[in-house]
Amino acid sequence: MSDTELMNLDTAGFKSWVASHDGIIIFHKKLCPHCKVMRTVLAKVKIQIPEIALATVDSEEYPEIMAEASVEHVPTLCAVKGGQVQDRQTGVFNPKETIAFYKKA
Amino acid sequence: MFDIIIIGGGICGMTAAIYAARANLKVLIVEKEVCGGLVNWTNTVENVPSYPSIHGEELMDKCRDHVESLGVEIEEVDGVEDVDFSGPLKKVITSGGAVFEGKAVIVATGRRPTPFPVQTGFPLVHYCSVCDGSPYKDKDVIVLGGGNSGFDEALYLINLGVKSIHIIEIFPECIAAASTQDKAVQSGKIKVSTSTKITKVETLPNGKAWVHLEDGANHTSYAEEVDGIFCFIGQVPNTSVFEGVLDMDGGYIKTNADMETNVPGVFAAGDVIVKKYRQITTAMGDGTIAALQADRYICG
Repeated sequence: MSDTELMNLDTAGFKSWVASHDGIIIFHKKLCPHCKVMRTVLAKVKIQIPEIALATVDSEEYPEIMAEASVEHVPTLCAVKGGQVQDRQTGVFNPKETIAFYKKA
Repeated sequence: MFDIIIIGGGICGMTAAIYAARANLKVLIVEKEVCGGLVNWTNTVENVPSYPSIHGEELMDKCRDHVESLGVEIEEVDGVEDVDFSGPLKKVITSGGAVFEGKAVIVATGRRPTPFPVQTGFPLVHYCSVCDGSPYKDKDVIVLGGGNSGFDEALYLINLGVKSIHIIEIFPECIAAASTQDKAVQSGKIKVSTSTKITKVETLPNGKAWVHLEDGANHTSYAEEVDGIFCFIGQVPNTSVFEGVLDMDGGYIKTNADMETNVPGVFAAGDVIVKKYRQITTAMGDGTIAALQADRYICG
């Protein structure tokens, strides 16, 4: 799965995605080394959990979504379940840790 | 089974992969994060021939594309947990549980940022201005380290709208390139203190930090309030997994001029070896030599 296969969300898309998916949204930036690592980690998570939905928010293009989701730093993962952001995790984590974060949320 | 397993996908490892793949060898890169290494963290690279100025991550993306186009297998976000170099076939065991075997191994694990040297509970100590700089618009920060990384990241923070930056350098002079230091001075927002160290960081009730500084040249101490701290004070080698296996000096792997280690069939190259200069171009040179020598080792 390449970056282009992650669904990029805008402001309206963010709300409808949260309402209709269980999965992980990554808040990221272009040319951010930690974000690049976490996008690759999510690709591995997708291999292990094919049913998980994944999406991205570009923090520079949509700062208003950052504020709405209470996210300040990138990369931040938001675990979405039952129409709500259930938990947030900022920084670099391996696939195993990322799956554990999602399952616990 | 691979001909060559390259541990580390920075510029050195990727250069080695290009040379090995062009020699028709079956090559695997194992990288604990993503290919590109520390160059990914560099905002502006201005010393690689043919690119007068390019973002480090862009440069590494181009390099990775080159490597992939040659059929090199790349295993990313999977660190090496253990190695067995005792037999003719070298084994590399990853944290993801994979066991890879190769006729030769090139260790190109590079270095990682040195942690902030002062014990503190202050949570806003950062190592990446791209990742963590945005919340500091119109705020005051300290950048610890007057090398190229410190100045480069400080200039990036200024572009984000940070109000003021105080660069702290423990040595009497900053070692950043003169042109980069000039840009920082011209910004009018960056102050530099040399011969100075941070002795203590306290968290204030308002969430800011009260940073205690000691000026070694003037034998004075003072403190200042800042919103965040960014730390760029050099790197340490990624060699813990090779302790007791490869000969080292100060944590760096010892090699001869052909990048051979003390273990036949195991080569080391780039920032991780004992040497004086660590640059993108020197890492490329090391990777080239290691791949050519590994090819000779395999093919006889």
